[in-house]
Amino acid sequence: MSIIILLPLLGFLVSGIVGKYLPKQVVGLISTAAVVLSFAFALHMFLEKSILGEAVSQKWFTFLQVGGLQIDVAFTFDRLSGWMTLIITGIGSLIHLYSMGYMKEDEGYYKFFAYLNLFVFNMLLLVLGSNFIMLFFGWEGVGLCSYLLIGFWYKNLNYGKAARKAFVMNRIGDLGLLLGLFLIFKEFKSFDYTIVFDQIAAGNTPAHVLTAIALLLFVGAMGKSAQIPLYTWLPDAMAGPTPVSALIHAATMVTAGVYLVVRSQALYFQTALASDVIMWVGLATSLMAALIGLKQNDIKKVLAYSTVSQLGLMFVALGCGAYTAAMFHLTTHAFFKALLFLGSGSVIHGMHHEQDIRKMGGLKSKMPITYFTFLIGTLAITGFPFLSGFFSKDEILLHAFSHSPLVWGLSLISASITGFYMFRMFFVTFHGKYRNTHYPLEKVHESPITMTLPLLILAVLSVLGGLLNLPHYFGHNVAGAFSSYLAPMYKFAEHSPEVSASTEWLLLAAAVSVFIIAFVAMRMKYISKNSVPEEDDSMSGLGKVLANKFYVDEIYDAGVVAPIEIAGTVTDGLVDDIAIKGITDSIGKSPNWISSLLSRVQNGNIEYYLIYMVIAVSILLAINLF
Amino acid sequence: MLDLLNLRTNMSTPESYIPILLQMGVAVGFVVLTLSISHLLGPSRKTAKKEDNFECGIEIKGDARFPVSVKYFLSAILFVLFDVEVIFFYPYAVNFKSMGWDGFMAVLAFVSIFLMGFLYVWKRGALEWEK
Amino acid sequence: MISIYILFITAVLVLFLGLNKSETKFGYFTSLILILTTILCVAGAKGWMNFDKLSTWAPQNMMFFGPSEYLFTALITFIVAIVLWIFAENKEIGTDRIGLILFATIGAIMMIGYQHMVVLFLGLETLSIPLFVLAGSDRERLSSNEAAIKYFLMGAFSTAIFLLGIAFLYGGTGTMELQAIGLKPSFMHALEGMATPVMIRIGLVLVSIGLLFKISAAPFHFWSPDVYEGSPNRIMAFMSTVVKSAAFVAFSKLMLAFSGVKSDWDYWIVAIAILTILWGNIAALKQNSVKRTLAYSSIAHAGYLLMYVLIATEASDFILFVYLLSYALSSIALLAMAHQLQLDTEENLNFDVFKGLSKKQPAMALLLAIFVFSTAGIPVTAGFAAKFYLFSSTFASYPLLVFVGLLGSAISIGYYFKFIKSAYLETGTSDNRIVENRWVYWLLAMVLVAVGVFGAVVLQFVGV
Repeated sequence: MSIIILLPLLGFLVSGIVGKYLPKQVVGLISTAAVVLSFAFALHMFLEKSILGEAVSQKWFTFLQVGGLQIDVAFTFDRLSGWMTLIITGIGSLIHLYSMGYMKEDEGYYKFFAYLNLFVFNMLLLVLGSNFIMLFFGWEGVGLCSYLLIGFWYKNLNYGKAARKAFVMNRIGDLGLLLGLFLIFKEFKSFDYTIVFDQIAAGNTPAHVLTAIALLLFVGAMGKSAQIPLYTWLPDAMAGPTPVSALIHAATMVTAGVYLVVRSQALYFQTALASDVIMWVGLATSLMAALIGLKQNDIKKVLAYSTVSQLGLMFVALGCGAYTAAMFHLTTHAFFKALLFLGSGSVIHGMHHEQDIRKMGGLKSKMPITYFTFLIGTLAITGFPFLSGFFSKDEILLHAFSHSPLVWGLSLISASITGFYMFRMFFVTFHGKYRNTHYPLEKVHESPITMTLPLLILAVLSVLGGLLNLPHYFGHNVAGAFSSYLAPMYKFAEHSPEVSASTEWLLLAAAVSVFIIAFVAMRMKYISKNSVPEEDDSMSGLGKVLANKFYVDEIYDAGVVAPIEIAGTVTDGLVDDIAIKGITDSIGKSPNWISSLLSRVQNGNIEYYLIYMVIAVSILLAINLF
Repeated sequence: MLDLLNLRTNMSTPESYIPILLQMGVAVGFVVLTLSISHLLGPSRKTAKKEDNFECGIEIKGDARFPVSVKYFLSAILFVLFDVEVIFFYPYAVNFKSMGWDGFMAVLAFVSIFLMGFLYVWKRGALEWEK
Repeated sequence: MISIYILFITAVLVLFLGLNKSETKFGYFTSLILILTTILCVAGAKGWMNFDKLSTWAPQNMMFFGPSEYLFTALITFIVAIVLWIFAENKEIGTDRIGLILFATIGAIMMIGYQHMVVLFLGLETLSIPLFVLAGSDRERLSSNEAAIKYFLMGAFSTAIFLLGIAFLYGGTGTMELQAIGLKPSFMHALEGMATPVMIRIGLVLVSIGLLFKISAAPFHFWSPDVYEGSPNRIMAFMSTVVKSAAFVAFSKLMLAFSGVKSDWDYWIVAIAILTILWGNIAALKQNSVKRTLAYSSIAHAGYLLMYVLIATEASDFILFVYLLSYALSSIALLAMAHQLQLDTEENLNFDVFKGLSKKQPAMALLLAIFVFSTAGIPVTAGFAAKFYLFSSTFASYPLLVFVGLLGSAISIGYYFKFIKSAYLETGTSDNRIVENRWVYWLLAMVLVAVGVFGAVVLQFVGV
C-alpha cells in the first residue's frame, strides 16, 4: 500500500526538483506515470482485498508520543478509503493526461505537475490515514495545494486574491475541525478511527459532547466542501487552470467533507441535531447555488456553482442518513463533473482562453468530440434517465422523501434548476450562431488526443456509473451493488427508505418530468428563439410579450423562467453579495481595524509605555490584594 | 516539614512592616512640618539679590547643558566600576577570618576577573586620553 | 556549569585575540566553540559524560544542571551558534560584540540552571546589560541608539519590579531557595487549606512581571517592537530567541515550584496569555516591516508559550523544548534570510526584499515557505508538532485558552501569508542579493521538517 501513497510523492519530488531541467514531455510523462501506476496498484489492491471485504492496515512509524497519546503514521485501505483512492487516482490519472495537452504552452509546466502530484499525495493521506491526525495532515496539505494551484497564474493579482480567499476560508473551517479533534481527544483519549468509533458506538458518551464534536467536524467539512456560509471561495477558485478545477474543485478535494462525515458515520448516526443541521445547510446551499448558477455567464462559474449545489445535495443525503447515497452521488458527480470541467477546458482551449458563453455559440460543428462528451455530461448531471446522475440523484431524493416530503420538494426544485442552468449553458455554448467577433470561427479547433481521450473515458463512466448501484426494481441480482459493498463500513446499519412501490414510481416520474420541463424550456428559449443571455431582459419586457409571435415561449419565460431567473438575480445580488459577503467581509476586516487601533497605542513614546506598564502592574497587584 | 511550619511563626507578615511605614511617615512629616512652619512664620521680604541663586567664585557663563566629550563619561564609568570592586572588600575584610581559604580563593577569582577587564580596557585604548 | 566555563574562557580569549581585528573570523570561531559546547551539553544530558566535578567549585544549592537543564543549555548554545554563523559576515572592527553576546549567553544559562533567586537575578542582569549595549551597537544609526535607550529605561524599570518581588518573596517565606519558597505556601494549602499569604502572592506577581517583561507578554511588550526594529538584525535574532527561551525556562521553573497553589495564580496568567495572543496577532496584521511583523509574531508566540507555564510538570519539559526549538530556528531563519536579501542598509526591512524570490532563487523560496509554515504552525513542520503538543495538553484544563490560541493562529495566517505572497506571487523589481551560507538554511529546514514528521523518533533520540 505504501507504494500507492509514495508514487505521487516521488513524482512530486522528481518533477519539482529536476523538472526544470527536463523537457516538458518527460516531466508530464513522469508525473502522469506516477499517478497511473498508483491507480494500477490501488486497483490491484481493490480487487484483491477490498472486494472480498479485507481491510489492509499498515503502520509506518510513530509520529508523536505524549503520555498516553500515541499518534501513528498509519494507513488503512478498507472499503471506504479504497473506493476514494480509486476515484482520486483514477480521475487524477485522466486529468494528468489531459493536462499534458492543456498546459503545453505554459512556462510553469513542471511546477504545475509537481503541485498536481503533491495534491494527489495529500489527498491520499487524507483518505487512507487511519486516524484523525493523518486526515488533518492531508486536509491541510490539499488546502495548501489548492492555494498554490488557484494562484498558479500568480501574475494576475485577482487570481492571487482568489487563492488567498480560498486559503483563509479554509482556515476558518480548519479551526472548527481542529477544535473537534481536540474534543475527540479529550473525550476518547485517542485519535485512532477504530478506537474512537468503537467508543462512540458503545454509546457511553454524553449526547451533548457527541453533538458538539459532530458540529465542529462539520464546520471543517463546510469549509472544505464549500457549504453556506463558507462557499464563496469555490467560484473564485476557478481562477486556477481548468484541470485543477476539475480535479480539486469538482472531483476530489471538495468531497473531503463528505468523506469525513461518512467516515464518522457512527458519530453522525447518533446525533440527530447535527444531522439536521447538515441537512438544512446542505439544502440551503444547494438551492442558493443553483439559483445563482442561472445568471452566470462564465462557463466555469456555472460549473462551480453547480458543484456547490451538488455538494449541497450530498450533504442533504448525509443529513437524511443516506450515507451510501451520498457516496454514490459523490462517485457519479466525480465522473460527470470532471467530464464537464474538462470539456469546458477543451472549449476554453479551442477558443484561446475565452470563458464567456455569450461569446461562444455554434461550436458543435467545430468541436464534435467535445460537443458529444459535453452533451453526455450535461445529460448525466441533469438526470437523463439511466445515465449515472439519474440514479444517484434519485436515490438521494428517495431518501429525502422518506425523511420528509418538504425536504424532498426542495431538493427536487434544486435538482430541476440544475437542468435549467446546465441546458442554458450547453445550448448557448454549442448551438446557435457563433458570436465572438475577436476570434474567428475558423480558428476554433478541436483539442489534441491527450485532451479528448480523458473526455471519452469519462463520458463512458458518466453513462455507466449508475450501474454501480441500481435501484431495486432492476432485480435483486444486479441492484444495490454499491450499497452492499459499503454496508460493512457502517457501525450502524443504514435505514432503507420505507416507501411503497407506487410512491416510488411517482417520485421517479416527478424527477423525469422536471428534467423534461427544463430541457424543453431551455431548448425553446435558446435554440428556437435563439436568444442570448445578455439580450434577454424579461423584467421590463412585459410589453413585448404580447407583440411577440412566440406566445408560448413568453409564457414559459414569464411563468417559469423569469421567476426563477429573478430569484437567481436576487439571490446572487442580495443574499450573496450583501448578506454573505457583507458579513464575512466585516468579520474579516475587524482584526485589521483593531490592528490600526493597537498601532496607535504603540506610539513610540516611552513615557506612555511606562504608564501602560504601571497601570498593568497596579491591576495585577489589585487583583491579588483584594 | 515541621521545621518549615514552625518558620511560619517568625515569618514576616505585612503587619511587621508597620514600624517601617511609621518611620517613613515620621521622616516625611518632619520635612513637611519644618518647611511649612518656616514658610509660615518667617518674614518674607523679597529683593532681587535674595531671589538670586547663591553663588561664589567666577561669574556664570553660558549654559550648563553643553556636550561633554564622551571620554569623561568613559573615565567616570570605569572609575565607578573599580570603585565598586573596592566596596566589596569591606565585607570581605570584616569576614576575612571566618571565610578562610575558600573565601580567599573566591575573592582572588573576583579580583582577577576585574584585572582582566582592566587589561582589556587598557589594550582597547579606553584609557588613552589623546589619540 | 561546564558551558558557563567554556563560554567565559572563549569570551575572554575572543576579546583579547580580536583586539582591533576584523570580526568575521572570530564569529565563525566562536560559533564552532558553541557547537562543541552544544555537543558536550547533549552528552551531559544523555549521561555519556559527567561534569559533576566542575560544579563543586561553585557555591552549593545555587545552581543545578540535570538532564533537562543540560538540554535547554544545549538549545541556547545551538541557537547562538546559528546566529553567529549566519550573521558572521561583518565589516566591524573589534570583537566586543561577540564577547558581549557570549556574556549574555552565560546569563541565559544561569537563568536556566538557577536554584536560588539571587542566581536568577544575576542571570537576568548578566543577560540584559550586554543587550542594552548590543541594541545600540550600530552607533551610526539613530534608531539603534533609540532602541538602546528604550530598552535600557524599560529594562531598568522591570528589573526594579523584579527585585522588589524577590524581596517580597523573601519577606513572605524567609528563604530565597527556589524549592523552599514554593513548598511553604503549598504545604499551608495542602495541610490547612490556607490561601497563599498576600505577601507571597504579591512577590510572585512582581517577580512574574519582571519575567513577563523579558518574554514580552502583553501588556509588558511595548518595548519589543520598537527595540527589535531599532536593533541590528543579529541582535534582534538573539533577543527574540535566546532571551525569550531563557526567560521561559526560568519562568516555568518558578511557577512549577508554586504548582501546589496553582489556583491562586493561574487566572491572571490565563488573562495575560489571552491578551498576549490576541494583541500580538492582531497588531501584526498591519505591519509592513519584516522586523516589526516578526516582533509581534514573537509576542504572539510568547502568548502560546504561557500555556506551558500553566501545565508545566516535571515530565513535560519536552513540550517547551520542542516549541522553543521550532520557534527559535524558524524565526532566526526568517530574519536572517530577510537580512541577507536586503541590499545595503539595515533601515526599513520590508516585505519587498522577498519579491520575486521564487523566480531567482527558487530553492531559497522553498526554504522560506518551510520556515513560514513552521512559524505559523502548519503541519509537517516542527511548529505544528510543537503547537499540537502544547494545545492538546492544555485543552483538558484550559479549553478557553486553547480556543483563543487557535483563533490567534488563524489570524496569524493573515500576516505570515505576506512572506509567501511577496516571494511567490509578486514579481521582483529590485535585484535581491544572493543568500549566503545556504547549507545552514538547509540544515535548519531539515531539522524543522524532521521534528515535524518524525517528532516522536527525534524526541526519543534526544531523550526528553
